[in-house]
Amino acid sequence: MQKTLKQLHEELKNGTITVESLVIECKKTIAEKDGDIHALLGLYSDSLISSQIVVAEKMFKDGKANTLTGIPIVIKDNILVKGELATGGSKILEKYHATYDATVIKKLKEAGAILIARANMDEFAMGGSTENSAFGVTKNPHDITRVAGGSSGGSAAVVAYGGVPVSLGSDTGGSIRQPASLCGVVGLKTTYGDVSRYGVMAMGSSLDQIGPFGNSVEDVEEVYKIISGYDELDSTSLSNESRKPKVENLKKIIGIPMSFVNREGIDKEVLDNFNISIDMMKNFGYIIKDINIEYLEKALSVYYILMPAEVSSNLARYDGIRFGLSHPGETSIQSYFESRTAGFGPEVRRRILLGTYVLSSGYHDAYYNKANLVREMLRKEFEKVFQEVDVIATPTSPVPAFKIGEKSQDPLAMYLADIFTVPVNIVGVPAISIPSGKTSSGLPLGMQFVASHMSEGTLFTIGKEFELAIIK
Amino acid sequence: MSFTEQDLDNLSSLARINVTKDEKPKMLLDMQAILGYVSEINEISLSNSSVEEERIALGEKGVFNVVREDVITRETNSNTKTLLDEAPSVKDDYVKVEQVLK
Repeated sequence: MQKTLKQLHEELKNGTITVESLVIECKKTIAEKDGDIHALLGLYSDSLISSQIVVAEKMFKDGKANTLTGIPIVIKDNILVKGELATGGSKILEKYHATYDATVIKKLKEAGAILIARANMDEFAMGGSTENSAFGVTKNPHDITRVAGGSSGGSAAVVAYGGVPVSLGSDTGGSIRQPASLCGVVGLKTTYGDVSRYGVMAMGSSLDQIGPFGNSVEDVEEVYKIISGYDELDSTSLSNESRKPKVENLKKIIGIPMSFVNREGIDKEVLDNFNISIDMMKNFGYIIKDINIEYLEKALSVYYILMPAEVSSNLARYDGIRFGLSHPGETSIQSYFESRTAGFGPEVRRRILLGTYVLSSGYHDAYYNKANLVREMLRKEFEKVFQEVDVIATPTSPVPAFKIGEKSQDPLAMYLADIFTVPVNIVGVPAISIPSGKTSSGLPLGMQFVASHMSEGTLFTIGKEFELAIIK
Repeated sequence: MSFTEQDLDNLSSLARINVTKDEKPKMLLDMQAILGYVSEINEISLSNSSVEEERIALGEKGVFNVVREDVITRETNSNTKTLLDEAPSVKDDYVKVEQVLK
């Protein structure tokens, strides 16, 4: 059993352990285990780690320590830490050093957290298995012949094997929740605009959110408290006005889109586990309500139109001129082709081409505009459902961790693994994945709870009850 | 839904990305499969009034520009070296590029 952040905090405070000894212990576990798993792309510089240890020790001495002070944390490699490598899992940024701190990093540094290492990921967060990383796949700590999920596979795996208690990832269509589910840890996707995106490499700007991984709902909540908040450097950051805490009177009703969950392609063990888990919640006094969301079935299509459109725009910045990999061509235009072709992997190129297509003249109305309208309809439907239920529950992933290579040659099959997580990003609401047991062969399974905008508190309350129900 | 090799060539030149001869057949199949799948949204008929309603809703949704006064917030040249250090090719305080006009 891993220690919780609060337990570690107590031990640091009363001197049973020191910040330095905790860091050494984490580094030791990483050195022992990461060779097999490959959750990490590298440790941060000694100077960064040791300067943060000094900051943390001083905070304890001055009585200013919080729950994250002195806690080692791993960061997904698409989040910028000034002066440190930040590759985004891509060859095009293999040697790129971040020129500034992301807002979440600034907050973690101020809280006295110890940034330990950079986590492996699918290239620019595009994928569901980390097989698209330019630096090799991350293996699942529960079975190294299987994937850890993705795109934040490294952030999930390092927590799962005990390298660090918490980590950060990013979630555009399920990239925190799905690997959390496949690795048996907790992962939180926050409300769109809740956590600042300043300093995270943009993929789908209307969908991306940063969020934490941890061993328990409580640990994830502790990290969330530190990283959320208005940021003037993020133009889509939610204003303080819209953050006013909601009155939390739970209706004790869980909504389940039954026909959406009981679908073709869902693994039988996943479905059985889901039904058992829901039954356990009934013991906690929850009422289950079948809900119908008309456009839910279309969310995946909406996603695979809007996301590539945003990808094709966002990734135009990698031009081989201002930073990153550069392969000179005969002309300046030719240099773009050479640099981008050499720097981007197949999935990234595929999504850029797709996005270029759906945005091109003649198709823009049929795809991009139509998808935006369906998105708005879906958002309305969710709002309506949340007047009746506290949370919506689905399995996080329709399948447990799959074999390395099983889906990598079939992009559409890989996309379908996002079916339960994608709608959440389309409508911008928060969601959490919590371990719900294991398959007969010992692979972790996860339960996804979805709440309304800025109702992370509801997820934490219900999530903690769910953890208790599962232990029983 | 027909997505042709010609379409792929056009996109590749628009997106400044080469697709090699070896990659082409699979890339073409993948694109056709994905576009075939997402084209299902064309089956959704949104009545004109609801479409119009959504357009208005989108406008009212609080989609607004976030701007600030155009004032210099940093000391001149304070970031120059950091940024130039990341540029692939540099001359003095400039990023060096291929000749544009010949």
